[in-house]
Amino acid sequence: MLKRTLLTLMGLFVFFSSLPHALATELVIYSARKEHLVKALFDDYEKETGVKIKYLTGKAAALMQRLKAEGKNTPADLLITVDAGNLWHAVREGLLRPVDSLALNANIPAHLRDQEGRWFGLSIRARTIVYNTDKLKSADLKSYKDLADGKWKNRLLLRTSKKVYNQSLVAMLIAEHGSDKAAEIVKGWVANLAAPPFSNDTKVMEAIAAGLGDVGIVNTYYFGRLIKKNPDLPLALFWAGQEGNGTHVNVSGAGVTTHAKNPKEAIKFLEWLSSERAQNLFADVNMEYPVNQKNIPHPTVQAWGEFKQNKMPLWMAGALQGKAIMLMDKAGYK
Amino acid sequence: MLTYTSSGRTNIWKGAAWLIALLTVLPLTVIFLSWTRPALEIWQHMAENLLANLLINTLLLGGGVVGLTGFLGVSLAWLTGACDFPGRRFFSWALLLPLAMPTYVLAFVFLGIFDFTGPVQTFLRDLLGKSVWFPDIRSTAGVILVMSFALYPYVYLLARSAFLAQGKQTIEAAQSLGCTSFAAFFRVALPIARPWIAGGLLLVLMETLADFGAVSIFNYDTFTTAIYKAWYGFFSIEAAAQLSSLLVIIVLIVLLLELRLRRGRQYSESARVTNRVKLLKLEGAAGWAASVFASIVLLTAFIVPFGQLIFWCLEGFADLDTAYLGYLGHSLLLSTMAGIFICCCALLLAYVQRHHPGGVTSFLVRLATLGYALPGTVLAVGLVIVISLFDKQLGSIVAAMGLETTILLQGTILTMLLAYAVRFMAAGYNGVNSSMEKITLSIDEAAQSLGITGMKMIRKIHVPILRSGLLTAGILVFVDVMKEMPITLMTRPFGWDTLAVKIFELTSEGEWQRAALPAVALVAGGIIPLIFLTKQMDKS
Amino acid sequence: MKSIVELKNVEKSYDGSVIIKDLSLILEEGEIGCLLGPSGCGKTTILRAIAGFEEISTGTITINGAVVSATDTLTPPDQRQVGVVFQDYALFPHLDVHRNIAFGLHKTKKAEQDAVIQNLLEVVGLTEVSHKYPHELSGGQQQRVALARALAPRPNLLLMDEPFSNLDITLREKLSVEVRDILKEYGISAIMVTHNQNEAFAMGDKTGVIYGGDLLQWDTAYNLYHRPVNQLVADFVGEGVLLPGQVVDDRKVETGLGLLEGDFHYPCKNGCPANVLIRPEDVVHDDNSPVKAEIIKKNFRGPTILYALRLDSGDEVLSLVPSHHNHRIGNKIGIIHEVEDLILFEA
Repeated sequence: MLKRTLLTLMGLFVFFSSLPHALATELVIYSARKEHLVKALFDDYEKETGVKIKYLTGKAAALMQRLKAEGKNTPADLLITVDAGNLWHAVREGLLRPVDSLALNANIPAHLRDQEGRWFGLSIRARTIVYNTDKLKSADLKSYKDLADGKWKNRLLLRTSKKVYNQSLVAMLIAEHGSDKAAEIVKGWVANLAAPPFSNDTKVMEAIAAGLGDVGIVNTYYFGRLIKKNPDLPLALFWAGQEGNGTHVNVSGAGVTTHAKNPKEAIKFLEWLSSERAQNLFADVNMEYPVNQKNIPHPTVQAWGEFKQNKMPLWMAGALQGKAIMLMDKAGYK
Repeated sequence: MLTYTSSGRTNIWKGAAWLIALLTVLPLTVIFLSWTRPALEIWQHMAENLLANLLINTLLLGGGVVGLTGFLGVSLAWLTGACDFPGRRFFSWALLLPLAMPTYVLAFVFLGIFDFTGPVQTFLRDLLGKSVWFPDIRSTAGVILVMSFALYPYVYLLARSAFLAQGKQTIEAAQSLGCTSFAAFFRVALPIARPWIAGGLLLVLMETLADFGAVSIFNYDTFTTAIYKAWYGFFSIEAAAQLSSLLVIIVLIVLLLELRLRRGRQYSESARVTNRVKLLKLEGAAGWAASVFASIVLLTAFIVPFGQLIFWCLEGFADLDTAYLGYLGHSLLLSTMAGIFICCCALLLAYVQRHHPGGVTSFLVRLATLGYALPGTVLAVGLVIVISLFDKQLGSIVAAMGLETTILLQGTILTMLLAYAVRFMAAGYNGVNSSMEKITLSIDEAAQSLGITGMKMIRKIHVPILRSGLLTAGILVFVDVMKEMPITLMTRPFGWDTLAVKIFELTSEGEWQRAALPAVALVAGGIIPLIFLTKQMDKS
Repeated sequence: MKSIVELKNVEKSYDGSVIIKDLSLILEEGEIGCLLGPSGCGKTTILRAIAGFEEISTGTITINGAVVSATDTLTPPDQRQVGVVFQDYALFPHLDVHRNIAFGLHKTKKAEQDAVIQNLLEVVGLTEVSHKYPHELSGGQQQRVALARALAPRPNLLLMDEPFSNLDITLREKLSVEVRDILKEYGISAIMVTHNQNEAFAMGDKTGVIYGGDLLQWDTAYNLYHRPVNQLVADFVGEGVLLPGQVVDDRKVETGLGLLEGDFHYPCKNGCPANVLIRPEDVVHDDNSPVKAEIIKKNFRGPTILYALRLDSGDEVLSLVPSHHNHRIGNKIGIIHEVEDLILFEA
């Protein structure tokens, strides 16, 4: 019995080790963007071009570590991830290669891509203020900084500081106001918390709707998803910082790997993703904003109104991420 | 030392044990080697702002979970193993069901039910007004509660089999010396079962220290969350590895303490198998109190959460498609393969332990079973680095021979199996070794004198005796691998998404209700072998 | 003398099968009683019933004047003040010798406790090993710990279940004498269960032969051996054969060994068949005897040889003769039967 088991195991090993041997017209993608947000796009592209897409999802840092460990043996051609901070780190680790593509440069505004073409934003999400409409009016709200004011004591709800979205937000606050001022803001937030930080944005919004707090900071698409499921919730978005530099935005994006076996196909796919044809598919499924200016956002997203984006270059989110985390740790923001 | 094994064979046995230990040692080495590049800035920051708090949190959590799982596991094991009360038979197997429920699933279900926005608090507010007070589930006590309800079965399983194995005579001896049967439990049964209980608690402690899912859902800061923060936030794999090495050291200290406590005492029962324990009949109110207690635990740890999952499932039924068959299939296949693979390794270790007992072997076994305490991701990182190095070396050899370079181990099922083996060897080894101890050397000698040796002896004598132990170990590993998330995420080959991976994808987007569907499938997939296991336990 | 244990018409059945049948016995204070019988005869069940581990179906068990077991009452074991020495000793593996012995003394003061234990350790000769754990002791030492532990709380009664069966023969004999001395010294009443009659005879003031749940005879060792009340007791106690014969008159029985003469009690005095119990030591080797028998088996025992002999009648008897009378199998030797009392059973 033992012998047979061992033989089976060995057989399976031989079988599966032969799998990663890449076929010619195959594109291999590591994606930190979740499967249910990318699968349909991959399927469409396969149907349109006949290029076979193989993908693996996972946490951004884990995928990047895998890329790094695999080195030049990596099967991956393209890395898709969320948050510019992650992309900046991928560049720093030397995992992404520069790409020069007219189409990509035309489709994507400059502040949403790397200057050397090592990564490209593919959709925009804003991180802004959400409030309980039974308790507040939009006139009561102003900016991220304003939420540190004592009048919000026991009224503010936040997501954990361990989430990269908050790290990027605080990084941008540091870039905008300087470390000391940013630290003051974060301390103010912590002092105003009505409950310990939540593990995700949806919980924050649900708690605001249920009356645990009055106001919070969330990514726009989480708001879109929740409202779609539960339109009666007394919640609304407020565009933060419109009187100042604008609302904090971030991207989900992608870059071609340094050791890509199939860089040409990878670039073609990136160009396709940024094209008018694919942009709505990419953004709408997650209620984000397309990066391509020719595309208009999904009607639900459009209904939230126009807003001024903070044009601070996104790479700063990555460069200042460590500083931001330390700042939040010091402020006691969990 | 056995005289009939030729020295050549002896070396093969020992070599294999070294190999298995090496599997754990290599990633650990990588982790400890990280100290050659100390992440000073991050350490300074951690020391100034976080470390004290992290240590306190980790100690509180570890202590709380060990205490509560000890209470739940031991009391329930005693009730179902030594007492008779209404529903005893049902509870004795049903109380194991929470093993199929991953801590991270139980965590998000508990939050879904008991948090401010959950149905319980909402209902109370509607009923009693806005100001009604309710204990905050997202607190230290809340995390301890959730993890304890998910992990108590480890203690229960081991304590119960210890109580069953004790036989009635020691209890009767205590009674004849003036102890009531209740006092006899505390003065005799409990202390004798202590090594088993300690073993169970050790598993629980290691699971708790390694847990990332549940604590991050509760946003409770522990050593593990700090490890992830160092890696995912500061992008410092070195700092993460250095923090992990501290965790390894903590675990080593705990292991040594446990070993010291046990030193000089052998608890093995006399070889004579005494008759089954006479069950202490709990009459009237005491019996019903026992039933109510067991019901509360079962309801809280399993029935209510599973019911809630099913309820969410019905809402999110639209997600169900054929892909789920694939996830389920992958989960089952991987768990089965890992179960078999780990059992084979554990068997090998147990053989070496048996035939070549001594300091070196014990040390090897300790090493090989250490992975249980490591956060899966950290371990996976270590292993991925080792395997990449291996691939690069092999690749250059292959290239030198003029052949095309391809990836050899990286991203194959074998890498996954190796990673699982490192992580779950303890679960497999404990089960296999405890039944290996039943085979005395005189049994081997008897077989040998009858002309049965070598593989034939293993097949005809050992496998039948070890069968139930192997099965138990296999099923425990199976269920553990089903629930495992970080290693699976990090090392799986293309297309090998499992239910756990799916749950990760959905929960990390906050889509907890949609995660109910894979969670239900995961739990259901784990329940079937568990029920089989409990049936097996009833027979023995 | 006062009785320490009394069993009156005790019956126990389990799942429809009767394990103990209408059993009555009395043990006087300070006496040691033995229950002797083959395995499965119910002797251990009796012991467990006295200890309080088993309920009884009918009858009563009285210890020291108090009814502890009856159809509807069962005093729990911990309130009976009965010490038990188990067959496998059941020492507590997590406690050393000292603390094993101290176990039953938890209600006594520490100083007093230590004195008692010190004394017991000396009595059983374990002072040296008082801090060792059970698994570090030899079988004999474990046995002594079990005894000391059971004696420490000064029980009314000590119960011992095959206490010597796990020891080798020499140790067994030595210990049984020692244990008897200790019990007598302390004046402790005891009941021991055994399947070994030598042990029973060495230890017991009274011995009961149990067979199939029945107490066949509760008597002194001498009486069990020399005056068995029935064939079963005769069979189980000692060696010997039942030789078929014919009662001739109230002192004579005609058998294959010739005409045997002696006192006996038998309902029929003339002409009826009867079986005569012939003990081997009563068949004496005498070359001058007219009765000759052929040796068919021999068993050398050192000082004596046990011969199995075939009589002319075809019946077989056993004969125990001094070992210098060494004959070969097949030889014929002369024998005579020398005994004053004849034991006759109905044929």
